[in-house]
Amino acid sequence: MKKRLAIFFLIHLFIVFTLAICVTVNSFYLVNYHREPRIPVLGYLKENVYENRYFMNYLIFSGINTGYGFYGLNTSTEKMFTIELYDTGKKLILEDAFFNFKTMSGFSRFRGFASSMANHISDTQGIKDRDKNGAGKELIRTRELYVEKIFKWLGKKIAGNVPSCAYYKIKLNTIVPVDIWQKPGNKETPDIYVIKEMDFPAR
Amino acid sequence: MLLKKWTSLPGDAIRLFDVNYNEKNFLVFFRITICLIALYDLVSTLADLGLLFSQSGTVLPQELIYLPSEYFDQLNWFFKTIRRYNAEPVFFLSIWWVYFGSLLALLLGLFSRVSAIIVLVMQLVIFRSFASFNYGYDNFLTMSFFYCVVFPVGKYYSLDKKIFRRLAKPVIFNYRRVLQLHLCMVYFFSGISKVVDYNWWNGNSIWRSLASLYNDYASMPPILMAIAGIGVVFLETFYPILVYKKVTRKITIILVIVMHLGIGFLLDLYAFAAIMIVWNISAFGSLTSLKTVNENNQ
Repeated sequence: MKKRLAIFFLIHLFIVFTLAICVTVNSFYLVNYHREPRIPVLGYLKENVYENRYFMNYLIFSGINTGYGFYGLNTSTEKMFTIELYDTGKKLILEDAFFNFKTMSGFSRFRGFASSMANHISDTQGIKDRDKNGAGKELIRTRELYVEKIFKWLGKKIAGNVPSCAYYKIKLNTIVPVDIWQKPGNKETPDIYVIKEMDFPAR
Repeated sequence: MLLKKWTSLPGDAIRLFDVNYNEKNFLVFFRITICLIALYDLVSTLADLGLLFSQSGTVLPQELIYLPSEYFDQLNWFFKTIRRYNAEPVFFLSIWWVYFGSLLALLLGLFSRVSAIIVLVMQLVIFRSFASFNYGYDNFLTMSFFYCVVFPVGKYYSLDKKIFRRLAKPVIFNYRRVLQLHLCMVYFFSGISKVVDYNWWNGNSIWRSLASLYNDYASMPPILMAIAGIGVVFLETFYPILVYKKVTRKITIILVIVMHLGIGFLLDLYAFAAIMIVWNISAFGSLTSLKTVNENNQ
């Protein structure tokens, strides 16, 4: 019994170990060379064994298919969505960043979502830049459409609840990264940059 | 000589998991604290749960949230099946209660293994349905529940023990070692990722993770951020060595707990901080306050 348990956990930990190597090397290459590397043996294991449908179920149930959520390479700054509601005279009637989230925990999750959308937009731009012969046109269009749908739905309910609202604007903002050794003085409020903004009619 | 060493390797690997009579405390502490954290997170997010997972009140349509996720195939099949049987209203109404109830059952050690399986499945169904809203805490919670399924966590201080007397057999496997090895890999690879990023050495990464419109940490002196960044790099990279050596183990665990408390308070990630602290204490903390050595031998 003990032997069987030991073998099971050794295999489990071996998977954790090899996946961690793959993720670490992959993210290093993606950040520095904008491509995924070929890792001998481990690359084969990841592509042909770990991504196998049945094996994937084990990874999902054990939770080891995910990263650990630690800050690692190329830490990004905070991202946040904002919504602005305008009336027919283009007058701003409401501005909000909380999107009905009331708890700190829920809002933290929402900020995480903003971050993942920013990554999605940046990855799409990367695909666009590398797609010289137009082969990825369909993929790029699908990814852009997804962003558009997310932006649209984020404000739809909020705008729908305000009768005087004619249209709404959704913005995805980021804090501009600085070099802390060169920034002018110790500014209390960091600068904001709008990654993407879209307008939609309220009805 | 070399051949002898090679042939003894499998035996050595298995001996890694020899019991050290601390299993009872570990299993009880792990089960109870993980359930309490999951319950705390559930209660603290209660007012927003409908925005993340409900039939019609979500901040975005549910399908749109899980569309780009790696769980799309499983979730799409699952939700299609529920829709086919018109079970959506019942499903969304009852799933939170099932999750809450099975968490309570696991906490009390009632049908522990079955409860752990239900908790794990429910957590995956609920929280992976809004995978883009997930963060480190959710990943560690899945791993923790998986370990609650495979470890005999209901063996001690549980209703199971009261009900099924046969559970009184001693544990013959060092489950704590699994968590120790897993945690060492987590910190080591997280540390290595930071070593190769110069922004961790000059404090820029700390600034990036702290700077927010909702606080004024961005104005902290750069030297403090650089020291914190270098400290995190060293602590995480050398974690496996530092906790292996008995002389540095205690101070390492204290420093790691301080680091996670810092993350929890500065970034408002309390549940994530709590679960990391629990993993550290479960794996390397001194869990001998509950008198068990003798009982384990019985």
